[in-house]
Amino acid sequence: MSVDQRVATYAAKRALACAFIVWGIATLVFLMIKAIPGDEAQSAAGITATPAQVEQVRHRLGLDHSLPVQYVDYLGRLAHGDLGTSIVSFRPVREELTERIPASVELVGSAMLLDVLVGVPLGMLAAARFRRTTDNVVRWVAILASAVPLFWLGLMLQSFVGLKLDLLPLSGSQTIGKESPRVTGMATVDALLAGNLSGFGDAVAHLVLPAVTLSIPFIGFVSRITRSSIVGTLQSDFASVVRAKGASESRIVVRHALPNSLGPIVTFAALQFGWMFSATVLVESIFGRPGVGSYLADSVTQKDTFAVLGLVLFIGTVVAVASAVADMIQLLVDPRIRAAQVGAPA
Amino acid sequence: MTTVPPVLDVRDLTVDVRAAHGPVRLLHGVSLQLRRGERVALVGESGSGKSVFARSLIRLDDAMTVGGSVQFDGADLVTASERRLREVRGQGIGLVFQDPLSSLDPVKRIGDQVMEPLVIRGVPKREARERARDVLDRLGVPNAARRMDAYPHEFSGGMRQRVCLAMAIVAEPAVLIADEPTTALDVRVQEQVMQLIEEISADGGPAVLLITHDLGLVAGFAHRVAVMYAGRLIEVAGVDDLYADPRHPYTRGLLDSVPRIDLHEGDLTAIPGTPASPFHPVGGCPFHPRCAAALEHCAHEEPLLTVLPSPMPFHDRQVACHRAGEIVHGRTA
Amino acid sequence: MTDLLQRPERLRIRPRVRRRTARRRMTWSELATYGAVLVLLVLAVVGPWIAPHDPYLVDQRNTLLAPSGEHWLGTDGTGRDLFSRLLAGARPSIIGAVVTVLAAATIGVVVAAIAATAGRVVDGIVMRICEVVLSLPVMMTGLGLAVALGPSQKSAVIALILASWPSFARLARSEIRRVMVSPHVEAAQVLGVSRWRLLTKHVLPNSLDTVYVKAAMDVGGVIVIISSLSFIGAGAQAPSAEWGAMVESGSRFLNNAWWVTGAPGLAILVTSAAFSLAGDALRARLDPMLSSSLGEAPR
Ligand SMILES: Nc1ncnc2c1ncn2[C@@H]1O[C@H](COP(=O)(O)OP(=O)(O)O)[C@@H](O)[C@H]1O
Ligand SMILES: [Mg+2]
Repeated sequence: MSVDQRVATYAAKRALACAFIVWGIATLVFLMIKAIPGDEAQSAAGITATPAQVEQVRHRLGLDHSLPVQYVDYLGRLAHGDLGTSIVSFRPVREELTERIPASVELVGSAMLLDVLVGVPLGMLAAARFRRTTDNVVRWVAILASAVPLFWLGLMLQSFVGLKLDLLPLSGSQTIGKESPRVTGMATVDALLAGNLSGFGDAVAHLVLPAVTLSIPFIGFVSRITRSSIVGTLQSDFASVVRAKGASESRIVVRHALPNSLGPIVTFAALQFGWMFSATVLVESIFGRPGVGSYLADSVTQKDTFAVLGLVLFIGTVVAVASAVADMIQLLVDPRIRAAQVGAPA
Repeated sequence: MTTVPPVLDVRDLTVDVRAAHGPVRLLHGVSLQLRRGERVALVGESGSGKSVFARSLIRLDDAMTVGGSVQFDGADLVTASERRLREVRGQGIGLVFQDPLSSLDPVKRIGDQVMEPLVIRGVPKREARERARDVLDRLGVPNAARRMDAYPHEFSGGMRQRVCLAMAIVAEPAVLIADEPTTALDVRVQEQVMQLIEEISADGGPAVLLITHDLGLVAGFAHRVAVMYAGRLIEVAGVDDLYADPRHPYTRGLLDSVPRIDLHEGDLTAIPGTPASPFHPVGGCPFHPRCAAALEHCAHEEPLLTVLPSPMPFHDRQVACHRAGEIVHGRTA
Repeated sequence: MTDLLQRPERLRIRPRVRRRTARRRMTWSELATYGAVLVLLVLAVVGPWIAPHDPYLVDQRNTLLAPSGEHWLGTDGTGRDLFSRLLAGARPSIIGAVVTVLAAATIGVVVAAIAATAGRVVDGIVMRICEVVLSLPVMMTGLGLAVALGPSQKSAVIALILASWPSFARLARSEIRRVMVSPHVEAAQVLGVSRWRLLTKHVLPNSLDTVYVKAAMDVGGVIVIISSLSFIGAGAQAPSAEWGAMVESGSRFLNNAWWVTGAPGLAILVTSAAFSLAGDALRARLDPMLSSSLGEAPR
């Protein structure tokens, strides 16, 4: 088998494992639906429904069948992309979701960029100053950062930077009147595509506070992962060989330790995409961004249980896929893992 | 031998590490000279301090406190600045370690790693690459130009050690220190690597300090042998003298434990007792608890490394044993 | 050649830290973090009793007062004393998290013990289940379950227990398997010691260190998650003084009384950080090798 074929085989296996996880999550969500107390048909039809309507919903959802049949039906509906229907707006969850994905991707993407740009150098610094004061300070900052309740941080930033200092817009994703035609659904990208520079600046300004909020706890995690991975490398035998070649400590960190730590860092970043996506539920509604997270938060507030569970399933899928992608990326950046997984250099 | 100053002159080297209950001394005043073109072997059981000696010459571990002096190229490396030290590392003194796999950065291409000592010193990439290729060629890495793009895990153990040798000599150091360079290799490859080191040191190559616990490797290779025990040199002698007439009971023990074709398995003698540990020092001669020739005196006073006069010129040798005068062929007369 | 001379060795660059449990003296920073956690736990128990005002007493004439001698942290949107509410809120916030972690750890260890001893099939199924649950962020599982069960503090705690036991099960299982193959356990096995006895007397006592450390480390995170659930509306509900819920109700007055939001959030941050630091210190104590990769240097 050629190397490409082996990589393809590995990718296929990983995809299969991912499919298993998604199926598992779907099952979990099915169980959650069954855990809803009371008559499911009544809940799904909404409190205002007439008994006839309830019976209609019961029939439509197959709730008059046995549990195994219901389960198979449920999986079948999922396979067709049916994530359920909102009991508030009576719109299919998928419809509203698709409209909102781009805004969330835009937010998560910029938050990831931020925390890698800050967290990785912070971790490198701590590793280079291993067990000295700087290291300890970074450690405290990291622990504090990962203990910050996101929703509160968002509110505080909004109150001080937005309200008191009036530096940045409080909410929304752009100022009315500065919008560009919707292409991707991401305000910044659409502005660029339309060549609308002031619109772009406006969209970025709207993005700053939510992105900073979302990234802070993750900066803590990224810096700690980076640090421990680099410290490990600096203590390995080859680091001493490089030192014996006459390399400076900073060269060892940048040229050797960092590339060796790329695997863990990149994996973490990919996993983080999933986690951040789920954390948007705490941030987006505060900043009034029309994303998946604020949809989920609204659904909770409106007791729209079926929408909530549909969204949980969707976000779970995003996380599972992100972790599969993480494994694939690692295969590409680390020749050792490549060797271990597919047996030969790519 | 002559009045030519040694390339490397180590005097009274001490090394301490911090431990839970205060500092622990790993080396107790080691002195050793290396002359141009000379091949010296440093032998001793595992844990005697050989690696610590090699590493502390260029102060590789910042956790260790180094004392004494290491004269090299007009500077004392013990007190030299970090900057000066970096110049010496790689370009003045090259180091090869025991385990070739863990000595190489797993995610960097072989070529880049061999070039690194040159690149650090500002040699242009292209030239560095050429020189690296030449060295790899010389060390018998087949297809060197192409293999430079490969990663360490794609090399066999023997090939990796050639790469490590190449990294150590590419910047043409005056001294090459090889710390157990063959221990991790299988027997057939061991011989090839020893052969290579010998070739490297021939005609104008670096002086070599070979560190090993295997006296079998030393006989055909070294000019002089220094025997280390418990962080001290306990015997230093020309290789023939040492084999023919070991004076320290420990040296004798080491020689007896070298397998020889003319002896059967059962005839091997190990040195009885446990090796000394820097964390549990004993008074007097550090070897006395294991020494068959020990007298009461040995438990109280540590013998100093002293020169034994030799009837032959230039064959002075040093031994640290109270009974060295009485001992012939490692046994009391 | 003799084995004395043959012993293969690897270069060690820095001193290996040996396991030195408990004998090391406590540093002042360790004392401080443990002390802080202790104080917080005590507050969580006695908080409501030492509150200077009734934390639920509405006083429409004195809403949104700024901090003063009478109301140390001011009053909230319905005139309730903020400081008293913070004290009262320590209980659902902290005890909720502690209960969650203890329950999850217990379930996890029991499941792991069953999985590790019951044979391949059971083990395989349990591990697959863990894998699936762990692939979902705890926040999402918690949110889904809490909403399905009907949003309340109790639902949130149950949901988080169900969401987080698998991480303990996975850890405990690997530790148990590690200890199972250790010489003294194998010797006991040969001697015919019963499975149950083997597990409770020999295996578990030697495999739970990391579980304790993880439990300690997790409390800080769970405090934040519980409060997040209440903030969104999936946990403790309106009049409750749970800190997340307090942040939520305070957020309406952000532009004229930021402290109503600021105080409970700060309480979450401080509490969570204290528990995390204490967990980190405990880990440094029980497992110096691990800690050297994350922080606190064992000196
Ligand atoms: N970084 C270190 N910290 C503490 N002790 C060390 C360190 N490195 C080596 N030692 C101790 O020093 C002694 C000599 O070690 P070493 O030089 O590696 O022996 P060898 O002769 O086998 O190369 C050993 O007892 C070892 O435990
Ligand atoms: Mg050694």
